[in-house]
Amino acid sequence: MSLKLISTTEVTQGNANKITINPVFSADYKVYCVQFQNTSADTQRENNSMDVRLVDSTGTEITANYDHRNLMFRGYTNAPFDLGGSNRDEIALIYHDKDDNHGNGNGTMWIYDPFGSNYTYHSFQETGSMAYPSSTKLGVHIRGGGVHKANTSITGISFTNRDSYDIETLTCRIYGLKQ
Amino acid sequence: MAGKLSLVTTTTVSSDTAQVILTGVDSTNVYMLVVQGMYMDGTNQDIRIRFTASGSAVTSSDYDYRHYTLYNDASSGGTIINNTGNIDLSQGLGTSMNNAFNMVAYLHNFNDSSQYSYIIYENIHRNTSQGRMGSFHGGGILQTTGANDGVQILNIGGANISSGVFSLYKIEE
Repeated sequence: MSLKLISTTEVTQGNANKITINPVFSADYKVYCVQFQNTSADTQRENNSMDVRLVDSTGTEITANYDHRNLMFRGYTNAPFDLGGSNRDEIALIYHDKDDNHGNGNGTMWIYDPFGSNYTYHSFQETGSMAYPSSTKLGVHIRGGGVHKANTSITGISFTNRDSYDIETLTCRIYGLKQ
Repeated sequence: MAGKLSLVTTTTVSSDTAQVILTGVDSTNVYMLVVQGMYMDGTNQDIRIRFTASGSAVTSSDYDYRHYTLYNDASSGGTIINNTGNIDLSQGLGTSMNNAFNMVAYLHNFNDSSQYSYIIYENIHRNTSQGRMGSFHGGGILQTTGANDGVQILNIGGANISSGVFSLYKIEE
């Protein structure tokens, strides 16, 4: 079959603000499917979210040179709004909330040629539960994509919750796609 | 989807070519199309897709499509096009791997001769002229009945595809 499971990461009752999966991207594949589900934070807040970043071949988390744009359907108004922009310090944002408040993020990223030394691209979709304003629960859907604008070989991916809150739960499966 | 995806055919382009045709849709299953690292030999050339019947592109003005266009440096917007001869998947594209086009798309009802054929797509790309990231999310329809067996990917302005890997997968039951 054409999709091969490379990595499974499961966090339950976590006590870390950042989860890094590295090394996971290699010369074996040029297209990867990253599926994340049941993400949540250990502390409730409105607009709770995780930053997604890439990790280079030295194991360093990359915090610059990302462009990304997503449509965010937050359920607070009927119209979606634009999320992201130019020269960001993250390549995507996953919205969720505290598990006890039914906060939850689920989605798929397709990542293109991360290991090669060209720009790395991804497309992104998420559906989850978040809170806005304050602790008012809302469904959320986000879709879009982004690019890391540097000639860097990427070997991993990281998830960092905002405000230094710990990531309470996270399941991440990463597949390589045979072309 | 995991573990149940079968590669039907793949084409790797490493020198200029006017078009890529992928065929092999021969069941009512959903098929997945993946394009990775595609760029053109000229700037500001959109990439377009048509469906094929018996291996030849359907060029009639029977395509409708709708998508959201997302750019890193501009407000997003919706596009609705009816009765046209192809589906426009991008802004003007780039001419290097740092300004490439990548896409995942799903093909529905292609092998059902009594139904229209449908595509759902999400892509990410970048152009050379502005260094602008674009991401189009949407879908299209070929509003004629009859079986379709694949897709044609091309530029209609005369530009060539210089690079890219194009793969068609069957999503098994």
